[in-house]
Amino acid sequence: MEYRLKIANEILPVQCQPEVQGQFTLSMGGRQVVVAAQRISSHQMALTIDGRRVMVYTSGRAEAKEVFINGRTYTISDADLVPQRRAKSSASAAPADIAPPMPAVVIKILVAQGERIAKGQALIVVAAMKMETTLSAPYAGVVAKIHVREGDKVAARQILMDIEKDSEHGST
Amino acid sequence: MFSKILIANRGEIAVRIMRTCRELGIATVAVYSEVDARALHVLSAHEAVALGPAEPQQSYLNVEKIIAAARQTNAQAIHPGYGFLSENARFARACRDHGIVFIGPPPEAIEQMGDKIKARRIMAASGVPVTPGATVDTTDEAAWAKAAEALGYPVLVKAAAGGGGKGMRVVQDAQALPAACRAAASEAQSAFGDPTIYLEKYLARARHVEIQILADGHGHAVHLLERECSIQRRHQKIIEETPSTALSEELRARMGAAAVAAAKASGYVNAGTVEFLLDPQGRFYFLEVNTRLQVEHPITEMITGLDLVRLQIEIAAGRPLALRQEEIFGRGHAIECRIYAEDPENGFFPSPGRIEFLKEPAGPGIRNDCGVYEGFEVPVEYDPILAKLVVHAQTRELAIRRMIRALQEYVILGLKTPVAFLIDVLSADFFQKGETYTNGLDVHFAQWKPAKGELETAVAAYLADTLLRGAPGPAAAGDAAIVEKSLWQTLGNWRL
Repeated sequence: MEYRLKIANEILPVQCQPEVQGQFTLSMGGRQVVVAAQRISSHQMALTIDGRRVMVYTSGRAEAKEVFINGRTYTISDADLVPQRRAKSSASAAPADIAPPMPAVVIKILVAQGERIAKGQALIVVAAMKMETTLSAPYAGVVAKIHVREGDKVAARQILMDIEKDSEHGST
Repeated sequence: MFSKILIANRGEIAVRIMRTCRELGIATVAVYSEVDARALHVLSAHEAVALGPAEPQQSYLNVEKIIAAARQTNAQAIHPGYGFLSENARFARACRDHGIVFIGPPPEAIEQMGDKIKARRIMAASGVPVTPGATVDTTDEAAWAKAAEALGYPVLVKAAAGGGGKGMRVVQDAQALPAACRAAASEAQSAFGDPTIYLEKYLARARHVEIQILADGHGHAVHLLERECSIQRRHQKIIEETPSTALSEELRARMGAAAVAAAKASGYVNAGTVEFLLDPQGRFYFLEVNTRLQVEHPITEMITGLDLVRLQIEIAAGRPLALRQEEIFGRGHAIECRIYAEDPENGFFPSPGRIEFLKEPAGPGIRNDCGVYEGFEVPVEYDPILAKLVVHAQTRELAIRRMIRALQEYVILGLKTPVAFLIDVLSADFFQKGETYTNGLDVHFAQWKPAKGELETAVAAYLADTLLRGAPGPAAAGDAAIVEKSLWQTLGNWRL
C-alpha cells in the first residue's frame, strides 16, 4: 500500500506492507522498519519498531489524525483523501478572507454594508477565551455583505464578511 | 466553621477548592452557566445552581445571581477562586450585606489594592519601592503621549483594575501608543468592567518575583516565601517555580518583610500576593497586590506543606492564624506549568473545542489540578486554562527533569496545548541555568516551531491506527481484538 502523508506542510511518500496480524513493514525516506502494533484502547497503541517499544496515542480519522508521542503531537493527514474533502466544503476560507483562525465570538463590527474600506482597515473584532483579535481588510474595496451580528458565535475559518475588491488596485 | 460553601468560579480552581472542602467536611455548591452544565466543577460539587447564559456578565460575573444562589442553598460562605469576582469589592460588600462570609480580604482592602493606581500610592507612602510610572486620564490621548515621553519608551500600558495580563500592552514607540492604549482600555472594560489604564516604565530584563502572604483577622501576618513567575507569554505566566534562583536568604527576608509590611499597612486579611519586579542588580519594585488566591499557589503548597485554601477558610471563619514566621520554611523545589487550550505555533491563539482524549500524568512528586475531562467541550467564552501541572522534587534540576517526564506523559488530543512548547522551554539552556527574565520567551522562543521529532514513529502510529481501525471513515471503538482480526483479514480490499 502506498500513501502520501502530509506532516507539517511536507508530503512524505510512504509504503506499508502488512505482514502477519498486527505487523507491517514501513518504508519511508529510504529506510525500512518492521512495526508491530498492539491496540490498548481506541486511542492508545503499543508499537514495537525494529524491537524498540513506544507508546502512542491517536485521535481522528484516516484523512487527518493527531498522533501523540512523548509529549509531541503530530498532525498527519492523507494527502490523497484531504483534497476531496476540501472541495465539498466551500465554506473553508482562503488567506484573504475575513475569517477568525479559531472558534470565537463576534464582539464588534466596525464597518457597515456598502461602506468603502481601505487596505488594513479594522473591520471586525472577535474574541476567543477573553482574547480579542481584530480582523482587518486584506485589500481596499467595498463591504459587500456582512454574514454575522455582534454576539454571534462563529467557527474557525468561517467567512464573516465579503469584500468586493477595488478593480483599480490590480489583480493580485 | 462553615458547613456549606459556595464556589463562585469554574474550571480547575473550583474543583481544587472543592477538594479541600471535602477534606474539611464542608458541603459545596457549584454555580454554572449554560455551556458549563456538564463541566467538571459542577460534577464535583454536592449541589449546583444554574446562573444563566454563557456570557460572564450574565453568569460568573453576576453578583446578584450568585448571592441569590448562596441564599437559596443556605451557603454560609463564598469562595471566589481567582479571576471573575475574586477581586471585586462590590461583590465582597454584597456578601457582607447579606450575611455571607466572603473568603478573601475585606472590601476596603480589595478596593485599595485592586485599584493598581491607589495601591502604588499606598506602597510608595509606606516606603516600598515602586516602578517609575504615570497615571493618565483614560480619555485624553495627548496626555498618554506626554506621559510615555516622560517615562521613556518602551512603556507598559496596564489596566488599573487589571490582572492576569488582561489589558496589558508593551509599547515600543510613540506611533504605536494610541492604538495600544485603546485596545488595552477596551480589553480592560470587557474583562473588569473598568477601562481605566496607566503607564509604567517597561523593564525588559527583570524578573517577576512574588511573595505569598497570609494575614488573620487578629493582626497577625506572615509570608510563605516567594514564587518566581518570569516565564510569561502575552504577559501571562506560563511556568512558575519556587524557590527563585535569584534570591539569597538575605534578599528573601527583605522582600518577605516588605510584603508583610505592605499587608499590615493596608489592613489586609486572608491570603494575598505581593508582586515585585526584581532587576539584575537585586533591586525590587512593587508591582501590585493580588487580593486573592493565585493561580500558581500550588507550588507554595508543595514546598511548605501547607494547604492555602484550608488556611483561607479558617481565617475567613475568624480563627487566629497559628503559624509563626520562624516555623515556615521551604523544602525542595516546585515547578508549575499551565496547560492552556492554545496554539503555541500560532501566537498562542486560544484553541477551544472538544477534548477527544485525555491522559493525566502520574507518579512521584506530581500533582495535576485539572478542570476538564475526556469528552468535555471547552467553551469559547472563558479563560483557556485547562489544568496546572505541578511537580515537587529535591532540587531544581530534579524538578525540571520530573516536569519534562510528566509533560511527556500528558496526552491531550482534540485541541492545541503548549505541552511540546513547555518541554522545549524547560530543556532550554537559559531556563536550566535559571536565567529567567520576563522577556525570556520573546528573546529565545519568538518563532517557536516544534522540532521535526520522531517522524518515523509518528507515521508508524498513523498507519497502525488506520490498519487496526479498518476502512476509512468512522469506526466504533468496540471490541478491539475482533476489529483487529477482521481488518487484517480484509486487507485484500485495501489500496495495494
